[in-house]
Amino acid sequence: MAGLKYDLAVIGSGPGGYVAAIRASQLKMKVAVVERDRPGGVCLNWGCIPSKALLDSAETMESIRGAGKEHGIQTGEVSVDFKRVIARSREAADKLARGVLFLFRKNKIDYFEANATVSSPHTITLAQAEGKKAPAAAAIEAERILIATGSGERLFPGMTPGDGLLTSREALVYDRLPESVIVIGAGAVGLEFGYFYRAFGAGVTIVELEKQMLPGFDAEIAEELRRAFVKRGTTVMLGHAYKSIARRDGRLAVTIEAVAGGAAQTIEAEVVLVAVGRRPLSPGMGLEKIGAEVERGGFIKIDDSFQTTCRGVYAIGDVVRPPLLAHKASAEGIAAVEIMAGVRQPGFDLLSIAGCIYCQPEVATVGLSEAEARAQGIEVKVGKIPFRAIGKAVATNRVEGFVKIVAGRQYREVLGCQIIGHGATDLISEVVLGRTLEATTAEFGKTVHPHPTLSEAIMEAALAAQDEAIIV
Amino acid sequence: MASNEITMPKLSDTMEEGKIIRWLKRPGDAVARGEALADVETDKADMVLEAFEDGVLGEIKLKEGESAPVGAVIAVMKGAGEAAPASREKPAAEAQSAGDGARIEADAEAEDTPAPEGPEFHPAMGANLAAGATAMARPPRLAAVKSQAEPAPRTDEPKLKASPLARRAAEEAGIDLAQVRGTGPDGRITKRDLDSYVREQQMFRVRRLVSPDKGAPGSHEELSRMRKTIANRMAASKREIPHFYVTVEIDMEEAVRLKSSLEQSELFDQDITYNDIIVKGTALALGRYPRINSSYENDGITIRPQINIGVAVAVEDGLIVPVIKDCGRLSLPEIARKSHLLVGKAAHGGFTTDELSGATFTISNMGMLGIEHFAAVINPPQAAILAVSAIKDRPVVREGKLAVGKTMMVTLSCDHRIVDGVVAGRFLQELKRFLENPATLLVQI
Repeated sequence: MAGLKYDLAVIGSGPGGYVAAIRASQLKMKVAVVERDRPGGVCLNWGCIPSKALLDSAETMESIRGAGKEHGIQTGEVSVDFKRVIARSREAADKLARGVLFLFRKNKIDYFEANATVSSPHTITLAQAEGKKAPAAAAIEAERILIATGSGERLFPGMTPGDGLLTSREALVYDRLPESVIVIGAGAVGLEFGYFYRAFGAGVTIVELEKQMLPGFDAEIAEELRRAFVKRGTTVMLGHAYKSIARRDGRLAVTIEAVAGGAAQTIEAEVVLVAVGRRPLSPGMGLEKIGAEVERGGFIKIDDSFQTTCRGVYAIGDVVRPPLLAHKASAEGIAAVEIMAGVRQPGFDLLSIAGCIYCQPEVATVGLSEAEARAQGIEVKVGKIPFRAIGKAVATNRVEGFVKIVAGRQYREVLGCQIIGHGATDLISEVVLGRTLEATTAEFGKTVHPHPTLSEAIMEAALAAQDEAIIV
Repeated sequence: MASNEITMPKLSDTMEEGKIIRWLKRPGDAVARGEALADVETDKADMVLEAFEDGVLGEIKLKEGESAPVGAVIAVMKGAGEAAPASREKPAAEAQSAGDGARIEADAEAEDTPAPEGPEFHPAMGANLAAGATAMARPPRLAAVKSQAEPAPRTDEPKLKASPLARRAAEEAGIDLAQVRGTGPDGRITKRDLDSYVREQQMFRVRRLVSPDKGAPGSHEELSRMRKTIANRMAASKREIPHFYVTVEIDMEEAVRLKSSLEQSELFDQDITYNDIIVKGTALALGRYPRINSSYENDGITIRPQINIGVAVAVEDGLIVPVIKDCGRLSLPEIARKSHLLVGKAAHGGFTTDELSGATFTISNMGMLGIEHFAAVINPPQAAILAVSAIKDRPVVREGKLAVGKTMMVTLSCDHRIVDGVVAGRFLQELKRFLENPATLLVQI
């Protein structure tokens, strides 16, 4: 079939796949996208977007609760229609998913709803996807194939979601406000949902295997965040391993054990949210048949050009390597097609990908932490500024947290930055840009930041890294 | 004009054949005498093949990746006469682009036109402004602009695009950014570009060890970039740092024995040199006297957390100081391996900028030249530098009897603002103890 021959076929329409497809179309490729679920992937439908809608509701709740004591604004009793909270987040997801389809049409990208199998380096076989109509074609041919299938929620062996046992995916549509929640895993997802349920008044217990929240993050950030959660009435149990789960009188009982030793204990709640990471969705596509190697952990092996070990087949996003982040997938998608088109050199700077967590206080980090830099034998200078020293933060009573800038001692290049506090996820972009431009702390310090803003904390932290901070 | 054949040169004593790694010029390119033509892989190292005369590169007979014996024809060079127009054209073209529309009037009127009085055109603003100004200026002024712009050197300094990190690193390493090719947006120079430039440069310039007798009597030579950096740094050091010097004689009998027994054991893939032994001893002594491993900064003393020892190596147009990072944690064989690698790079090229910077202490060793005793100039902001002289047979007193021993003089130059005589003396005593009991160098403390 002549009409079904493409320059590029993308499997997966998440933030990696749909962005890559549009960029490829801009670069004059004829593009097809295959998706088995909904356009926009996990990010738009089951991740970033709907969860941010929920967190927005949670923040609104938090500020209404504090309005009386804080601002003297009396609200009377506050009640929540939790079904509306969930419905609002679905509306946001639906709107954006429709937006993706619009962008496909605008860029003349053919969209197929189907399960994809890579049957040869240039052929994708399409099969009817669950709950969808039969696909418009049985197979498509393409000069190049880009795999952007992303990742799925991880569960403990033998667990199946349902009856109050949730992963983030179920939690996003669980429209009854639970009276108590146990969150297993204090990573980004666990913390965001932990904050969300707590803000609406649920009793929340967060259980984490490692000795700190956000394992792998800067320890000071993790400790500041733990304090913020405890202050909001959340129970945080670090260094505890999950052992088993059982149903007891319509509730869920989770048995955990301190890693340091001691007797096992059982805690109960109405709902248990399992947030112990994600797994790359590389199986089931026939990769082994075309000789595309999959590494330990299920990640597809790629080279500097995002090409798999099967020539002509490329892969990007969650399915190739951490960090499992939407904006990393998009950036890799753009890089991959630009490399294919010969308008960009191979290579990709993973160290300039910011990690963001949207609970309150927010956390945003980029590059190396102080400990990571030191472990690499780099001599560092660290500048740290608490938000309590920043005028705007005091005026708006958002004094939780701090900014930390890690600079190389020799050249003062910004090796990394860690921010915890209100607006952290928006503030970090300045530092990411600085890293792209290879700015040193001198440029951050010399750049006049408007007053009063929270961004002054970045300027001051940069100055602090050269022992020239004004305000501390 | 006559064509000349280029043959595979003998680039080392033992070289029998060479392989073209890559051609740096293409057929039809104008080549000036001394310019690099190709990278050649030999038995010893990768070398650069330079043109012996001006001309135009004609046919290439040996493709990239192919080998040929010494003496075989690898390319043909066309005569200088044909080359001249091509190679001279470039500056003229550049001047034109700088002056742009202004040039036409300028040529005709420049001589008659009086000097401009308008304040808009400051001579220092140079050629770039001239180009920008043409659109709005009147003809007489255009001419004036031209005559002012012309004498100003066509410097790229003000519009040179480079990242702040690249600028800073280039400044420290004494590299002229105008020479570096940028790969960022619009040719912006990044740190990576700088690193690859340094690698390339080492391949050209720093590939042969000292030839200090070069230079004809009565001739005047512009200082090379490296020479200038050395000149500025050393002058600043002596101007700002109050130096004082402490010397000690170290009995190297045991160290000599250790070195030869390590050699005979043939257990290590890398021979351990006296310099490695001295680096190790110095690292241990610095570990005990962190005050010496410090720097004078902002009216304070910064004790450096790592011991990074720079080892001064003489090269063609000066000296470079490759740095052995984190010496405190390295064993003697590890130091030997690293130092061999770095000294090899000094001879053949391939440094990254990081390998040439970040030293917290420097050792200058003139032992191989048989020097009796000397003192070195401190490399700021370091606190001290150790000058190491030759190991010589000297009379020593052992158990009350005169004997022939092997001893070595070392002199520590110190920054008196932060190091006092007592600390310097104790440090040298400690170094002496380590080197005179070299078994201590083998124990991981």
